[in-house]
Amino acid sequence: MTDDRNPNLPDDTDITDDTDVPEAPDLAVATSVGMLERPPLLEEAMGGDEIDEEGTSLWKGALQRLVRNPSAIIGAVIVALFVLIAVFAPVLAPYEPAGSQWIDQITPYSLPPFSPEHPLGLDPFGSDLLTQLIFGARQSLIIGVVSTLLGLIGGAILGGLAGAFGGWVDVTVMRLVDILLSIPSLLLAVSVAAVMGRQPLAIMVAIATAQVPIFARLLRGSMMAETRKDYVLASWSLGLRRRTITMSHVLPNSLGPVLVQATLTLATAIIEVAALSYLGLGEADPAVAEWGRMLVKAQDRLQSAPWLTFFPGLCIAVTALGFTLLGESLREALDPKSRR
Amino acid sequence: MADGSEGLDKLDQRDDLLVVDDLKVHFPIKKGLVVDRTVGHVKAVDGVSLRVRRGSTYGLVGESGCGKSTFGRAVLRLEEPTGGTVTLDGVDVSALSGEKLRQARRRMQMVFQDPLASLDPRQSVQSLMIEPLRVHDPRPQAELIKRAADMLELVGMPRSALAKYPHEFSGGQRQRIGIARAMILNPDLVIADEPVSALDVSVQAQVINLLERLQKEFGLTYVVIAHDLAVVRHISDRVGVMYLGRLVEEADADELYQTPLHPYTIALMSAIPIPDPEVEDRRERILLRGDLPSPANPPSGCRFHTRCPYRQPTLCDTEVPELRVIEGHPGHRVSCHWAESILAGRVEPADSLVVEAAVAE
Repeated sequence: MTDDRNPNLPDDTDITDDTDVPEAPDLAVATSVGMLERPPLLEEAMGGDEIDEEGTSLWKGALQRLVRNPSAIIGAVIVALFVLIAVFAPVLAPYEPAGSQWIDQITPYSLPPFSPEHPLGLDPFGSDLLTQLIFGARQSLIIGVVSTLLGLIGGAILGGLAGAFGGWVDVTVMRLVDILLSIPSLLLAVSVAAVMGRQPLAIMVAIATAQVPIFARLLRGSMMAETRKDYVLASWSLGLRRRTITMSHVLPNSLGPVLVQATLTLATAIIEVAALSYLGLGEADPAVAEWGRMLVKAQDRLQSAPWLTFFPGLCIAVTALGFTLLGESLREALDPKSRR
Repeated sequence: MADGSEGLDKLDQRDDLLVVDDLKVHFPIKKGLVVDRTVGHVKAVDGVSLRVRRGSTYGLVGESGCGKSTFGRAVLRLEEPTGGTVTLDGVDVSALSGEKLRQARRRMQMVFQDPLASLDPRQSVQSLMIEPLRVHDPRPQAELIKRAADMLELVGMPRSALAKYPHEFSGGQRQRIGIARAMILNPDLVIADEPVSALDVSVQAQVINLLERLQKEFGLTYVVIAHDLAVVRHISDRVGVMYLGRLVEEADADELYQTPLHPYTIALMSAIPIPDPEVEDRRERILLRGDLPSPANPPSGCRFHTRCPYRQPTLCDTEVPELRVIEGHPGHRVSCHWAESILAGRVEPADSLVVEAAVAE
């Protein structure tokens, strides 16, 4: 190394300029310090050092723990089914959605019983209930995922700014978040939906707004905790740039809890989609199947046809359960303290 | 490596790599509901001056809370010094800032106490090792990997370790990775903050030997911060003893361990067991009463006078002792008013504080 970083160094002390690491270090010394000499038999039994070439990263290790956890598997199966049903709804559903071709079978006091053509019967508007439920999954999935993503992005930006810069940026951002947090989430969502009008985007923004404070606080707190750790100090002392330290050390290490929270929030988001539709703030087009609205419409027939409320309710509950199970086991898998 | 016993007058002509002058680190104590008000300072490091000769090892000892770790971090500018200067090879590090400071950092590295906490858990050893190189000395990836592997081999780790992650290693192996990472930039100065105190005793010796071997190979200069007197004696050429943010005694290692002059050092040394059962039976121990006083409100005069077994009625609580060279002991600096009298045996420790070692332990 012949750079000029050390101009004051006298010529006779060139030891420190010898950057190039010797190619073959003294084997005797290396052995005494590092690798222990094992008896041949033991060596054979333990295997050489070279066998275990691949390391296990934190995420890889978490995945390995995840697949051994029964509740993670149940959660993953539910979530996978839900996504598949939503994606392949047109293929899976026996009929066209929102058709009212069987309206003549409906009377104000009774619905036709279950039949082979309609395994879950008809809804009060004369369409097949199973078809409506299958198409309802689409709405829940799209709105739930998009709103959680929006909330995650918004919260991550706010929390990331606060965590990375600290000082007055932190104070300003976090007071803003506190104000958001002081409004009950459903009320906040109702106001946003009321301002933006009845359209799907409004629900997404409404639910996302309610989630922003959760993600912002979580990421900020987690970044603050990481910033105080020794490896960040080590990065400083190695002369890394502030940007590198924040973006490739502090942030990635802080994201774990945020991603877990996102999975859990997805469950809440799906429930909130239903709740907002229930309150009449959901999708304006009555032809679009939506679990929350199905609940509302079934209300006046609660006495005569309870299954009309039961099935959409069950769909909401099972889907939310799936995401919760997955999120909880993800948290367990990522938490170093619960490692077995 | 041992740096003879030169007097202070010769200090200026020596080849000093690190010169610390009157370094101070004060942390403000803040109070107040709306507006923060500074109500005092914790004087973690309060005026420490020392010089470290190129290629030598300086050991810094003291009990926990005496400011030795803060001192180490302030020298590396990981903690902002309140006052004083740090000069590394003629460059005033304490005056650097921004990009200049960042580039100067490659010449001074740190080995941390807890090797697991000081390595990013998400990074593989390869990216841990390559990262500092990429920032300071960008080259093709293959070349960097080769250097990382060579460095690992040098600290006694197999090449296959590159693909693994910090949590997959034992404590001693992790510390070796930490050392390799600090050394890969080929620094001039390495500050090791309790490098072995988190390790098993059996592994401690390995790591210390490794540090010594690397020093010989690369001509490194070390500042080793530790509370383990045996470790410090083994590794150091010169030793400084810190008490409550100040240096109370400084001498070459053998001299300090044979003739400790400051009452605090004498008390510390009396706690070391002697590996000879007959001598050990007769060994007397000087007990230190109480805890370290608060660095926010240090005692007047000599900071040690509240716990000093040799405390005298005059001077001790009124005048701050200078760190001065003792006559007949060149290079041995002590900050005690009564050092000569203690050396000559004219001042004895208070009887109640001297106990037989067997009773004390």
